[in-house]
Parts: sequence; C-alpha cells; structure tokens
Amino acid sequence: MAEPIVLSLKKLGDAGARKAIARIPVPEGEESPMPEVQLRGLSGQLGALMRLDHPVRIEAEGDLGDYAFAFNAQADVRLNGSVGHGVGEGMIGGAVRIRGDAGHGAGASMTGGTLAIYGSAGPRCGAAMRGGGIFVRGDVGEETGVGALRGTIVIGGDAGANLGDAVNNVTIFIRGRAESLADGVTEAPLRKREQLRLGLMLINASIRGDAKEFRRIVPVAMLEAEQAKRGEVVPNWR
Amino acid sequence: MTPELTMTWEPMQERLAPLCLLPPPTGTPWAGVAWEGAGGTIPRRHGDPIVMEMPLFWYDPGWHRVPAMLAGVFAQAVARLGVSVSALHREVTPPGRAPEDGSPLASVHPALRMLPYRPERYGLRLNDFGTADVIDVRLAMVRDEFGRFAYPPAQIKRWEATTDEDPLAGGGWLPAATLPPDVASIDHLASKLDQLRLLAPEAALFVSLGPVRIDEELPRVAAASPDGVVLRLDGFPLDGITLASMTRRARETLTRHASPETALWVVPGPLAPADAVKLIELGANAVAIDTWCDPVLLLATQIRPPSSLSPMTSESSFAGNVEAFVREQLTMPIETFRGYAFSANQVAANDRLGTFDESWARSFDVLYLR
Repeated sequence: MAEPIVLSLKKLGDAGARKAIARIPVPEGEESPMPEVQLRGLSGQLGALMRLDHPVRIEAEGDLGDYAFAFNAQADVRLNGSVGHGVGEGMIGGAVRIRGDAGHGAGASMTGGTLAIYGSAGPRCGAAMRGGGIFVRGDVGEETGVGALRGTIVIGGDAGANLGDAVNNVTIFIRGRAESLADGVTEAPLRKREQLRLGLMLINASIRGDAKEFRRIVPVAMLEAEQAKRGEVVPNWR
Repeated sequence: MTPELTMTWEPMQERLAPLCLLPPPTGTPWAGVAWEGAGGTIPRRHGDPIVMEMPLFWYDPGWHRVPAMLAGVFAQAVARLGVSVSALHREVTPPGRAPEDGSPLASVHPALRMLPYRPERYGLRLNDFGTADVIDVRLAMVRDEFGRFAYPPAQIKRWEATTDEDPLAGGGWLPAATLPPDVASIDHLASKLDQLRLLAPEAALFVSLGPVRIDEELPRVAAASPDGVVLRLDGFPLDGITLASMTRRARETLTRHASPETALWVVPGPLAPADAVKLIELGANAVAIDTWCDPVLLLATQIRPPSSLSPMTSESSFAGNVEAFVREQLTMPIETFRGYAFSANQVAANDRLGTFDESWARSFDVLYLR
C-alpha cells in the first residue's frame, strides 16, 4: 500500500491544497484503494477544501471554520476536530466524517453522499437537502431537516424543537427524544425493511447501534400513502 | 413566427412624473457630447470591477411559466440587448439535457448573468457558480401567486427536474425561507459572502432585501461587506414619492454604513423608461425592468417551437425568431431609457432633477421650479 501523502493546509493555502489533491494519481480498477492524504495545518480556516472532486481518502487533524468540504463530490474525508456552520453544504457525493461538533446547517442543501457527525450538530441540520444521508451520533438543534426534499437523516441523540418542518420525501430516524415534532410529520412504525436499511446505513457511517433503538419520523401524507400502499392518487401534501 | 404575434406598447405611466429631468441651461454651448453609454462598473471589495453594459436588469423572470427551451433562448435574446438576466442553469435547460452541455447561460454577454442564490437553494448546482457575474443572496421573501410565502409546484418541478408521476410534496407548494439555513443570523452573513467569493472569485456579491425594516436590516447587511445591495420595492403598493424616497434613503444608508461605492440596484415594480433614469439620479446604480420583460416572455410562448412534427422549425431558426421578437418588443422602452440617460448626461450631475411640486422639492432637495 502506498505511503500517505502529507499536505499542510496552512502552508499551501486552500487553493494550493486542492490543486495538490487534484494532481494525485488514482490507481485504476475498482478494487484499488483510494490514495490517502494526511492533511495538517488546520486552524479554523473558512471554506476549506470545498468542491473536492477527486477520489482520495483524506485524514485531517484539527478544527475547521464555516463551510468546510462544501460541494464535496468524490473525496472520503475523516476529520478529527470540530467544524463551523454549513459543513458539507451542497455535497454531491463521497463521504465526510467529522469526529467533533458541527454548527448550524450541517449538510444544508446537499444532493448526495454521506455526512456523518460524531459529536452534535446545531440548528437546521439537513435543511433543504435534496438527497444523500446525514448521521449525527449526538444531538441536533431545532428545525432539523427544515425544507428538505429528499434524503435520510439519522439522529443518535435528541433533537431540538420543530423536528422535520416542511420535509417532503425524507425519512428521519431518531434514537432519543425530540423537543417537538413539526406540524405535518408523525412518528411511524419502524418496519422490518427500514430496520435493515437503517442497520446498513449505520454500518456504513461507522456508527454503533441497533436499528431497533430508533424511531421513524415521516410526513403524515407519506405515511398515509404508505398505508394505502401508494394508491392511484398521489395526495397533495399541503 | 406566428403572424398575429405582436404587442403594442401602451404609453407607460410615469410613477415619478413630478420629478423632471431638466435640460441644460439656455446658452450652453451647442456641441456633440462624448458619451460612453449608460453602463458603468460594479466596484468589488476583493477583485477587479465588473463592467456593466447597461444599468438595467431582469430580476425575477418566471422561467417555470414557459418551456425551458424558450427560457434559454429568451434569456440570451434579452442579454444581447444589454440587459442583465437572472437565472439558474436548471431553469433554462431543457429536460434531458445536462446544463454542462452548452447551457444558454454560458453566453449571455455583453450583459451580466445574475445567479439567484435563494436561502433554500432548490435547483442550484455547483456549475451555476462558474458562469455567474453577480451572485444575489436573496433575503427578501417571495410570495407565490396566491400570496403565500412559498414556491409553486411548477417552479419546484423545473428546479428539481421531477416527473408528473413522482412530484415533490405530492405536487404541492413549498414554503420559502428568510435566511440561508447555514447562516446563524443576519449578523453572520459575512461568512456566507466570503464562502461565495471562494466559490465564484470573479463574481460580484449582492444581497437582496425588502423595504420593510430597512433602517434596522440594511446596516446589518452592509456590515457583511457585500459589493452591492438589491432593494426589492416591487411587492408593495408604493406611490411615486415613496419609491423615490426609499431609493434615496437606501443610498444614504449604504454610504453611511458601507461606502459610496457599494452598488444599489432597485426593483421598483412597474416603471416607465424615464423613471429608471430618475431612480439612477436618486442613487440607484441599476434598475429592474421585470414589468417590461415578463409580458413579452409569456407572449413568446406563441412562437412555434421546434418539434418532430414541424421539421421546418429548427432550434436555430426558433432562436432567431425569439430574438427578433424580443428585439422588436423591447427595443422601444430600452432605447427610450438610453435616450433619457443620454440627455441627462448633458447636464451637470447636481442639476439634472427638478420639480414643480413643493413637497417633492423639499423631500429630495432638488431644484424647485416655481
């Protein structure tokens, strides 16, 4: 296995680091492991490593500021540290794992990929997301998932007020308690198929836990459509 | 083109009629005037200024009301007249065609392309940043046609490319937000603007907001150091004097809390060409002409699109027909604007406006023509 490439964000600057990552040759073949980058020199930089569109695995040490790894498309990132607001905003693919806490709007408007936060996340986590999955091992703030159109949000701890406001084709799994559910969403039975799906997602996100400990929160209309086995007419949700 | 497709411009009612654009004093030397056009530049805090062909822009086109193919060629046609146009790639790209494959927005020059950065970012793709000249962070809430703060199903369908069989929200409307969810409060807006500068280093950064609570909110927006502010005055029934005074007040506030160079673009709602020139004299740097463009866009749906049933209509001849129609319909108000702007330029900056109305003279400190 090739030695990891060590880069300093402090020395190279953001543009330099992104350029260096983009130049890393990628071995051919699906079975080949991704090249590994060890990123150092993190000191709360704003907008760090946005738009990464290269299949590399990045191990980073330290804290980053707002909008870290926004619009990530292919990289598999593991950060030992905390981040500011908007981590993984607009993510398209790949995976971002934060072993620390995140601020407001983690994963906002993401369209794909996996964002995992092993600490807690602030308000409006997963807001306006349009695909992909968010996993938070700890607690999330108020209005989690507000305006989300598609995707999955898994919450290992508790949620703040107004969980699931104006969500659409979105499923939220929660292990702890929600301060309040938003109008229009409800707790739904966790069926066998969701237990299996959630179990796989937890494994993929490297989060320990039994899927059975979670409860499912979905839009009322989605549950009704499910119960009617998706009848002929798609109900208007508002 | 369909033969009956014509639209006659009614004389537009001037909202700022009591304000007069003044001629030069009698005896001013009869000479040709060197005029570089009505355009100008947008100074940027972090980068070179952006040249603007003409201080007119189309702020909120209803792209979802017309087929995407028409939207694309229409946007290009309006831009060729020098009017800056706001659009996402997804809004003007026909279904099944990737925006990367020759988006109509890749060539809107000589005008500028505005990227509408709504709080929810529905429909926004990463490639939208690549061709944007102006990024407009929209804090002003929008209403749908029924008055809700919401986006209609047709707009969601265009943004997210959903099918009739699998609509989002069951085909219902979606509520609109007031602030990007990853911005903690309006006082943390600077961080979002800095992020957008990294994503689109060549673009100017604007923030739009409405006139309500302007004294409280505009200084806070100015503190985030945008390159410009878009003041949305179109959602309120303002009379002429209020429209003019809001424009003047916003300019003064920006000068006080940001800098005199911070651009002020105004969305006034209905206006006549002379109104646009007067708003610029009152402190605006550009004026929205949605009420000129919107009806032409809807009328253009009558132009026969290319289809397998009409092999004589190719995409290029369709684009040509649309461009000819747009030019025919919009040349008159735009040329009238240019004419008034040209004549205003012949007068010293402080002597361009006057009024026969005492209250207007008092309000705007312009020449009282007794």
